[in-house]
Amino acid sequence: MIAAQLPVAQLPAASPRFVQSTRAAVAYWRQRTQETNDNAIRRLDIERQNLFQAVQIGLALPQTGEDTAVVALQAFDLIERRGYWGEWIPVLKKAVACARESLPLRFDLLSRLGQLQRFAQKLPAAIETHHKAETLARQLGDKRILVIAYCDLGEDYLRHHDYDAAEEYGRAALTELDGLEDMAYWKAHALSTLGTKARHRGNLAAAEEMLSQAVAIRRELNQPLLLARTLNNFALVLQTANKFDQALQCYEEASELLTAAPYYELDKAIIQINLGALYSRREQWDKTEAALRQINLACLGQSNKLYLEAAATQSLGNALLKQGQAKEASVYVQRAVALWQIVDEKIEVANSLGTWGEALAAQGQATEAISLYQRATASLKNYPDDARAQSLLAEFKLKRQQLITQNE
Amino acid sequence: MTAFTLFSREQLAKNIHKALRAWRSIGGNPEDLLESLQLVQTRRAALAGGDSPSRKRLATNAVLLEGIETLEPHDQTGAQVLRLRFPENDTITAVANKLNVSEHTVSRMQKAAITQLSQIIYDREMALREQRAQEWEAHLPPAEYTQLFGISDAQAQLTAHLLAPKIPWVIALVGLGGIGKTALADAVTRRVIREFVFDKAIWLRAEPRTMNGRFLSYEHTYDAIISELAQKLFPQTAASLPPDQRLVQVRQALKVRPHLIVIDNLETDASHLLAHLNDLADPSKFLLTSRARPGKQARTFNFSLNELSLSDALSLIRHHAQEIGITAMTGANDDDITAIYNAVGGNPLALKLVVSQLDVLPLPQILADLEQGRQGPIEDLYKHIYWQTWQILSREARDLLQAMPLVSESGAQPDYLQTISGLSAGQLWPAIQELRRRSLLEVRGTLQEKQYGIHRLTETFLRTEIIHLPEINGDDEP
Repeated sequence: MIAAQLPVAQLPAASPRFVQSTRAAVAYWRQRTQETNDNAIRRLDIERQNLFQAVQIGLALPQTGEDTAVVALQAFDLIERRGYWGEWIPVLKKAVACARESLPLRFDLLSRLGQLQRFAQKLPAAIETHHKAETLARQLGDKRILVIAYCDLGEDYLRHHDYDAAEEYGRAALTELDGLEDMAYWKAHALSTLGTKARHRGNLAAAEEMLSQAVAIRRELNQPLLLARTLNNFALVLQTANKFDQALQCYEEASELLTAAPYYELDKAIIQINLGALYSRREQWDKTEAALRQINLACLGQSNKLYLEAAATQSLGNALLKQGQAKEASVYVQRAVALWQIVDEKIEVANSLGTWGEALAAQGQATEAISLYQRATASLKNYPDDARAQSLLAEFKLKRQQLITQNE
Repeated sequence: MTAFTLFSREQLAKNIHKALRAWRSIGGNPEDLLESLQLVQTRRAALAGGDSPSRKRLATNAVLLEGIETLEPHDQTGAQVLRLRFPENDTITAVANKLNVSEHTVSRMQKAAITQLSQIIYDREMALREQRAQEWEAHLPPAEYTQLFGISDAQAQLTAHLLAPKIPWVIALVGLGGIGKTALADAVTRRVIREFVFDKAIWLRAEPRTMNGRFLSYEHTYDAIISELAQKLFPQTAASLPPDQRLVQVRQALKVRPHLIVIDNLETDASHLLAHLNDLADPSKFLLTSRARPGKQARTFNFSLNELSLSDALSLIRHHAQEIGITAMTGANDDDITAIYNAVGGNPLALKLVVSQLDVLPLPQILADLEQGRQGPIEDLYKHIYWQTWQILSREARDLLQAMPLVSESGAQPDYLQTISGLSAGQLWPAIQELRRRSLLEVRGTLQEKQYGIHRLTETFLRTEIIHLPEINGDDEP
């Protein structure tokens, strides 16, 4: 507690012997975290508590702060893949504070910190962090890292449903990329952001074009995890365009890529959630339920991945409702509403409220259902720019009106 | 090792006679079905439909028949009498005629044969129980003690609570750090296992999916407990079970057959979690160890483990001194040891730390130092004890101990200890042994792999007194 509340100068100096031990520990973890293959990450995960302890202490000591900041950065792959986002955000904040001498290190830390904030749905914080990174990139006059800052911001704004800003930064990244070599990774990133933005705006042809390019780049780079993620984004576009068979192929390929690497539980959950959504679009409710039941909700809960837990819970509730199990469905969607509220996804809250209303209507509770539809539509009116929000708004308005008419 | 007690040889002989008489019945009562025998339970488990009345009898008869076959080489006539009387259902008169002896002789032979059969089955049962108990014990973490002191009353009470098929279903063993909660829970579990009241005993150390090894909330702790229970109860299918099904199946397993679940070192206020565990209990029982006393809403039976009495402390001190080779204690009289107890109190860890100093420091000096520590709160006394121990450590042991706050609660392997301590391989092992002998290093893990860590009291001393390391705010973002 003291470290967070007192200025460093007031802390008693740690013993030289302990500082020496901490240096040795930091050097040890610096070497261990350089390897980022699946096997190295698996071994790191087993020993993660000692890594965490060493990083926490290393960052608290002025003599080891900057070296430890490098370890905090290098451990990112473990943190990102295993979902230890919430615990690493304060670590990276301390690491940023420690990286006084090396501005490139400071930039990398800010970029990674903002990414974790985005994963954790702390979008205003992510945007603020990435704008700091952008400013730093301009100071350094380095076009390559400016591209990274633009890509980060593009994705932040996309998640924040600010599609104009997402497009602006995505385009800026592509412009800056022109003439730069060895930046294919970031080109795929920018294309993926722009493609997903186009999907949200309902421009499916453009979305398909950009995401197919992104997939092709990822294939060339031979990065299975990133290819799986881009395939997932591509499948979402295909699914929205009612190209179900192609979408299913993408999900299957993504699943296969993730199965080969047994350590991507969170990515697997995302694929299963989207696969469930695909089956639900085809009204294959038993398959929807089966896909969603494969998700380890306990793992998501324990890892504090509320966003994914919310998505899985909502979809499962919907599948149950469509199969005539309105009572059980109510339990799931009610929980989904609570989870979406925690992660502050207002469109999704509205969607779950609408599904809950449908479940209550199916149980004969028309008054309560009308009230839930009312809450959902009032919220959705705030998103005139979002194709999905507008589609949901129309659907819930209609259902509300039908219920009112039936009860008159 | 503690003997089995709920199972008596005399009662077994009576029940075997009843079981023989019931040979041709379908079903029966627990006594004539010999249900208390693991031999019978094993046979039932091997039979398809082993819970139907006819299968139950079949399983019991198979156990009896195996016993009679074992008897045959030693007492052919006795075995023949038993076969004719019970499987063949001949009267005493018919058997007497077949064997060409008097009815009285048949009765006498039958009685002798049943006594021998009882002995054979008893020996087999004991061997099977010993084998089972050892199999179960192999799944417990290795015991950290060679002998326990001052816990016989607590052990007897806890054992009785656990063996009784009634409330309390959830028992929280509560006490200060270093007081011996884990050791007592381990001893009681080993004792209870040997009564075969429970189908299975499961010792849990639920691992959170976090970087720092702490749970994010009690819901996460509960989820992890359910996951680990599912893994132990259904190792083949647990991984593929969806979470809601996992809970349903775990609950069903614990509700259908009695299991003993031990959860060691439950952190923080466990009241909410314990309320959930109550729902899983009956007939299964939960035994938990915790520093914090659960609130009333937890609906647990709280069992407090207090400090050792003087006489128990005397026994512990003498035993520990002998174990770590403190020859100076050979000449110590009860007054000397009483003086240590008066200065330190009855915390076993604190007593061990003081005893370990006696190979270097004279007792009067130790007592004089402790007298100063006693003026303030108990933490000051522990600080004094640690300081005294610190002063007598070798340089290598100090170097290693100073590095230990870098090791998490899960412990670390020797190569990491060597890295962070800066000791050579030749220096490391003597340092480990020295710290272990002075009760400053804890050894965890299995036969194949050892992890080394320190007690929280030791870590507090090091952080505040030796290395001046501030507590670090490690809270994660919500």
